[in-house]
Amino acid sequence: MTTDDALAGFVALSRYLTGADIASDLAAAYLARVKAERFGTRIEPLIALFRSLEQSSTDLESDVRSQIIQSSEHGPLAQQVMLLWYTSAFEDSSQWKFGTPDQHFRALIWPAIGAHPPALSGGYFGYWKYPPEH
Amino acid sequence: MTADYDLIIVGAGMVGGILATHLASGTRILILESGEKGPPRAELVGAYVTAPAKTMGAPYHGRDGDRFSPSPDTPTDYYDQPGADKFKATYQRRYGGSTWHWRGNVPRLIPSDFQMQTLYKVGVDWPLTYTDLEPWYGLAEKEIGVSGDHAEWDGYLGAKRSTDYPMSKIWPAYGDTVVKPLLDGALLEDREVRVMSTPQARNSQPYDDAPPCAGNSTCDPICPIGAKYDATRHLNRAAQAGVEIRTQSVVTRLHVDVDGRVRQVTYRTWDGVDHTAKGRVVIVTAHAIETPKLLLMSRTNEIPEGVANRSGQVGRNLMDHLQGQAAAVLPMPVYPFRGPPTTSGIDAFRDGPFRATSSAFRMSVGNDGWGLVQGPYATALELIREEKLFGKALRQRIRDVITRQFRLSYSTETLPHPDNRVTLSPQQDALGIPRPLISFQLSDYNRRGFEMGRRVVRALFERLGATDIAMPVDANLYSAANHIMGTCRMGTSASTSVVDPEGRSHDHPNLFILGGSTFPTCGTANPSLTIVALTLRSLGAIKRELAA
Repeated sequence: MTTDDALAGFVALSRYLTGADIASDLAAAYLARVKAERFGTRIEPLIALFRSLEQSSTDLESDVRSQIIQSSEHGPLAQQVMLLWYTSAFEDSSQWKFGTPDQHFRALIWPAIGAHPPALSGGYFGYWKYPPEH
Repeated sequence: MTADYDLIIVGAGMVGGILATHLASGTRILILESGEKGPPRAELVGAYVTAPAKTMGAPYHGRDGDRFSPSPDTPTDYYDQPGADKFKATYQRRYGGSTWHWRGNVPRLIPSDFQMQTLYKVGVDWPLTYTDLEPWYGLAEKEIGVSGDHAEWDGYLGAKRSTDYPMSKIWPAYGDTVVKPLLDGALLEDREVRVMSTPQARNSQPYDDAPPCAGNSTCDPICPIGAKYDATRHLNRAAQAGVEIRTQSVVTRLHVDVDGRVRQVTYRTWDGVDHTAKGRVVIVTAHAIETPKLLLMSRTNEIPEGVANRSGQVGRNLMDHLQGQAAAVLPMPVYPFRGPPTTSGIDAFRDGPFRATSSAFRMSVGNDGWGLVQGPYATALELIREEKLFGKALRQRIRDVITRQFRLSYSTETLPHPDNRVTLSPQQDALGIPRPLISFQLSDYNRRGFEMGRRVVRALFERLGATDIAMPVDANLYSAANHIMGTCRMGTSASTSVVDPEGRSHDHPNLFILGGSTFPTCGTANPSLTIVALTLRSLGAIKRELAA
C-alpha cells in the first residue's frame, strides 16, 4: 500500500466510522499517530479490508459491523480510530494519550453535542443561556 | 537590628497580593513565594488540553515546581496520611496560588455560620458576627470583582446585603433555565428549594482591566483569558508599585526574638541555598496546609511547640467541604459544556435545625455533564466500546446522551475537630523540607449530611424525570471541594486560638496569619470571599503595626 493509498484509505475509513465530515488535513497526523502506537501495525490491513468492503459489499454497514467492529482482530483498532477523531486521544487500560492542542480543539465530540472544545469557546458573554444553534 | 523591609509576606496568593497592593505606597514589602511565576497562560492551557488526565493540577505538571514546590496538585503523593479516611483537598503553590484553578464561586457565609455553638451546640462561635463582617464582604466583592444578583440574595438565609454587586450576575446556563421551573418550590427536608444564581468572581462585563467571561468552560483548572479573578491581578499591580516578589523561595523558618517578635525569616531557593530577610512585620498567608507547616517547622528549644502555638491549636481543626456528586440523564437536553461549569446553586440546605446533628450543605447545579462522575470522553468511549456503535448512529447517540447529562453536588460542612490536623512528616520534599503529615477522620456529622444530600438529590432527580441515576455508591464516598480551612483558628482567647479576630498572632504581636486557616468553623460557603473580607478587615491592624 502506497503512502497516498494509505492516507486516502484512512480518510475513507475514518469518515465512515465516525459518521462525520472529518478534516482531511488532520488525517495524515492521525494516521502517523496510529502507526506510532503498538497497535499501529494493524492499520494497513484494516484500511485494506475496509477498501475491499467498499468495493464489494452490498450492505456496507452490516459488513463493517460483522467484519470490523465485532472482529477481535480489527475491532479494537477501529474503536481507537473513532476515539481518536472524537476525543483526539487514544485510550489504553484507562490511560489516555492526547496529541497537540490543535487536535484537542478539533475533536469531533464538541460539535456533535453542540458545544465548543474546553478552553476555546469562540463565544461571547452569555451565549450559554441559549441552546446551541446546531 | 535594621530591617530590610517594613513587611514580609509569605505566600504570593490572593491574600498576599491584596495586602501588598493596599500597602505598597510608602512601605518596603517583600513577598516570598515558594513556587514559580509563569510560564505564559497560553502555555499552561496547552499543557492542560493535552494532559492525559484533566485534573486540577494538569496545567501545572511537568515543571520543576513538581519537585521544589510540591503540593497535592503534583503527580506524586504529597500528603503523608496513613489513616483510612483521606483528606483529598488540593492546592497550587505558584505566583497567584490556588486562584489559578479555583472555580470562582463566592457566596457569603450566612449569619448562623458564625454562631454554630450558640445556635446548634456544635463547633465553636466565631469571635465576630455576620453583621461585623458585612461591610467587608461588600468591599471584598468589589476588590476581586463579583458578578451577582443583589435582589435575589439580599436577606436570603438572614444575610442582609448593604451594597450591590459591582457587576450583574453571570447569566444562567441553558440547563439551569430548564430545571429551575421544575425544581423551584419543592419542599424537601422542611426546606423550600430555590435554584439561584451563584455569585461568581468572574466578569460579566469588563472589570479591573480584565475581559468578560467568554464561557470557555475550564475555570478550574485554568481560565484561558483571565476573566475569572486570580491573584496575579493584584500581584502584578503590587509589583508595578514597587513590591518585591521573590519566587522559587520557600520560607523554612520564622525567627522569634527574645521579645516575642518575628523579625527575620529564612527561605530556601530552588537551588538549595538558604537566605534570610528581615522585616518589621511578618504576614504568613501560605494557605491552610503550608502555613501551619511553617509555624511548626520554626520550633526551637525555646518554643518547642512552634511559632504562634502557645495554644497548641496550630495545625488542628483542618476542614474541607466534603462533597458528593450524583449524575443522571434528563428527559430533555440541557446542552452542558457551554459556559462556566456551574452558574446556579441550591442554597436552601445551608441552614436549619438539622445542623445540630447533621452537616448543612450547599448544592451546585452542574453545567458540566456528569462532572466528576464521568467525563464526556469516557462516555464516548463507553458508547464506542460497550455499545459498539459506529458511523452516524454513534454520532447521534453521543449527541443524544451527552446533551442530557446532568449532575447535582452537595458540599457539606465539616466541624472543627482537634484531631483533624496537619503536623510534620518525617518524609521530605526535594529541598529537604518536611511534607505535611495529615490526620483526618470522617465524622458521623458529615455522614448524616451525605445521607441527607443523597435524599435531596434523588428527590430532585425524580422531580426532573431523570433516568440512569448514578449516586455515590455509599455515604462514605466523598470528594474534595478543595476548600482548605482551619489549622490556625481565630478567637479571643490566647489559650484556645492562634490569632485574634484581626489575624494577629496572640503570641507574637508583629506576626499576622491570614487566609482560610483562621476560620473557626467553615459553614458551607466557598471560602475565598470570606478570606478577602477578613483580609480587608485586617488591613487597619496591619497599618497600625507598621506605623508603630
